[in-house]
Amino acid sequence: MLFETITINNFLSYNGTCDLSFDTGPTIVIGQNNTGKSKLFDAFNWVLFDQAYHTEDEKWMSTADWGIALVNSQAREEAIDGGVVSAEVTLSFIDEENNHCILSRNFDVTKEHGKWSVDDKSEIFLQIKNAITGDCEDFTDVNAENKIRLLFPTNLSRYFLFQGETISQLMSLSNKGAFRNALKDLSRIEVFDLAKEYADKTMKRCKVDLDKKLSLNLRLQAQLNQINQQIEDLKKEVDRKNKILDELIKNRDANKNILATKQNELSTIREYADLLKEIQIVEERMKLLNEQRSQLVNGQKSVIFEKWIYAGSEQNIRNFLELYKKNQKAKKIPEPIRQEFIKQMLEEKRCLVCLSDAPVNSERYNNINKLIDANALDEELALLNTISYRADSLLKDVGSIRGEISNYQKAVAELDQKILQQSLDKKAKELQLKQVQPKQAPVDFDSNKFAELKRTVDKLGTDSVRYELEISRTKSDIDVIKRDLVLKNSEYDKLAQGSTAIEETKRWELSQAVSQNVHKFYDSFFQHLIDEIQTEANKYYKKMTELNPALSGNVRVDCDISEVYTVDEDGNRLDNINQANKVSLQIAFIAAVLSVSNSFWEMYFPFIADAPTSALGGNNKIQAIKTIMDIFKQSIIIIKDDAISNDKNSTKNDELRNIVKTDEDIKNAYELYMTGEKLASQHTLIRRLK
Amino acid sequence: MADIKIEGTAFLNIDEYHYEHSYKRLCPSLGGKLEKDALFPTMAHLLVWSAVLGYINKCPNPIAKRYPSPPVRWQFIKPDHQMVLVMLALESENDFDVLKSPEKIKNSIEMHSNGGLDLMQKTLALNPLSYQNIESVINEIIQRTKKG
Repeated sequence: MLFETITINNFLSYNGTCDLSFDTGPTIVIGQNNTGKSKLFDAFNWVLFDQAYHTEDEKWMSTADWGIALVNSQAREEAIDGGVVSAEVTLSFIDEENNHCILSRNFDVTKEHGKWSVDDKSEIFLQIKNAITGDCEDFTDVNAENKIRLLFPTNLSRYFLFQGETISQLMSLSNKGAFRNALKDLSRIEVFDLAKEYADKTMKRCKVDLDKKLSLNLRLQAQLNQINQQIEDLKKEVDRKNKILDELIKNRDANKNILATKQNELSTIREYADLLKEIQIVEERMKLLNEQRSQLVNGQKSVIFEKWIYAGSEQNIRNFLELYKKNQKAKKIPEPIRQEFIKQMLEEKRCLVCLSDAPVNSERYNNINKLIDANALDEELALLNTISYRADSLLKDVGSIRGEISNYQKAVAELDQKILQQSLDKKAKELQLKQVQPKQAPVDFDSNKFAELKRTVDKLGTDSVRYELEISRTKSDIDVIKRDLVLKNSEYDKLAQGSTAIEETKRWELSQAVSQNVHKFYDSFFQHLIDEIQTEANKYYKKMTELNPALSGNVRVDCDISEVYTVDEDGNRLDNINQANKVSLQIAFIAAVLSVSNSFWEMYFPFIADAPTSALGGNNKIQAIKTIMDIFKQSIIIIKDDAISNDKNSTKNDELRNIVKTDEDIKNAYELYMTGEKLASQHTLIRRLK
Repeated sequence: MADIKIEGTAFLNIDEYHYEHSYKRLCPSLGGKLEKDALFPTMAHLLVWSAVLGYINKCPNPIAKRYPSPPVRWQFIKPDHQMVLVMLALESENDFDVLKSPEKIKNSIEMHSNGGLDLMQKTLALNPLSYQNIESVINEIIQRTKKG
């Protein structure tokens, strides 16, 4: 199958008519968020399978469920009363016989008196133009749907229409019932089912004939009846056990689905809880450090206040002392004759300098009295001397004070540095918290919820192990019963061979051999198919992960347990592989399924991928795109534009855009963008890049 | 030690701006931190500290608008601190005769305190939250003064 063009008209975000054409090889469609990339992917899904993905409800919905919302809102807005607006997607493609096919699906809504009348289903039209005769054959309704199902099997749809953003759904594709369904379509198992059915019927008829012949011998008949009864019982037991096995596998898969969801939930909550706890620890550390700081500051308050007064003004004190000495030297500070001393002499009526008496009104007394001076600088000089004395002693202490201040400042600086570090740590963790913050609000979080979820996950994990054990036990029971069945059959054969019913026995043996061979052939074909898928998947997986220095293991397609996983060199299953490898494994497996389909049935499916690498980054992303481009005969890769549209440098340096420019295999490339000033009038437009 | 008596200096004036922005925010008696936590338990402490800062940095600044009722009494300043202030005033005036006119000493202390507070406000203006952590601001000023 080779897609040629898709024409989208008034479908979801597409207003009016938009065309995209494709060739063999890759086509790249880029666009920023909300420019209609997924709607383009929906257009393919809708035209082929009448399904479009409803982002809000996170599920695929048919036209009936979508209703009027499927038709572009602006087109509806512009419709006149009585007018019909039609959402329509037309896909033209070439099938494996080179016939040219045009598939068209439309959905009409009619405006009547301001109200909308809506059909409950879409209309489909398919035209196939024969490559040799040029004759056209038209199909509508159910016929068209059936014809399309033959060309594009529903069970394979999720393989060639690859949706990268819903990883969980993708994972379930590869390891659950859908995988078996896809294999069924891929292997065309129904052909074998028919062969097995015919062989079994023939065998049964031969057996009836043989039993009839042998019934003539009553004694033998009694023996054979007994064996037959035992064989029937054993067969019933095999059927019963197979049913149990199917039920167990179904339950195990359901359990695994829930476990995966819960584990995912838990891992987000665990990360969230751990971060909250870490932030709490940082806050406690900060509190402690602040307390330490506060204690230090309070305890050393005098250091930064009183002591600093002296230590800080050391130079001023030195200047003062110098000034004092200079003044003293210049005799500007006389030794004062202190007024108290004069007063004492006058009181004692005696000169205390020459130690002579000085009676009142004597010349000596009067001379002493003349020294009494109201303006004497006694007090000032005394003060000056006291200050200079104090300055002297301060200078002696200042050295140790300086050391004390320096030690204090060092201790505070160290604490400040630690507090700053913790505060940066806290900010970083808070940022991380915002990033891991999933849908649940922080207020929703409590430790009980976390513990409960953990218990649920533990229980589901235990159940999962229990299911595996039971499955393995049931399988081994079935093997034992089947061995018994073989023994009983051979016991029956021996008795039959000893009888006179030679022809009937031969026929019975032949029919048994045919049936066994049909089963064997089917099993070996199926195993071959699986081996092919595994080999191809390994090839692609290695290619996608080769740039990664870490070893990624080998792909194992395990049909027994319907799972695809990776194993180490010794074949041991690798658990908890990272997201990038999971996606690579997915793409590799899907590519392998499609590639095997190509080589087995010569049916080439185009690979249409919506954000196939959304879970990848850096080298892995580009490498995955290159691998997709290499693998598929035709691929349409719809991917988010990493470059900022209005930044020339960004668009110039973007790796994807460079690949688009330089890779000669890419013949078509498009950019989607939004236009319209108001939200209601915004719609997708397409610009051709190549 | 007995108080140093400087006549006419019973009260020391402060600038209205600094009363509002420095004293009110940093002194417990005016609604600042609790006394036990405060770096400047009284307004006198802040006046002394800022005056020393002004003298060290030689940045006197005349009071632009006096706060109407002078809130700091000279007697409330510890004798030890009084002595340092007078010492710094004398050193700054470079003349001991100033001892004869106490008014000049008082003016000198007032102007230097005002200049010191200006300096502190400049640092605080860079980060208004520093009022909550005045110790760090003081520390920063001390560091800078030491380097200078």
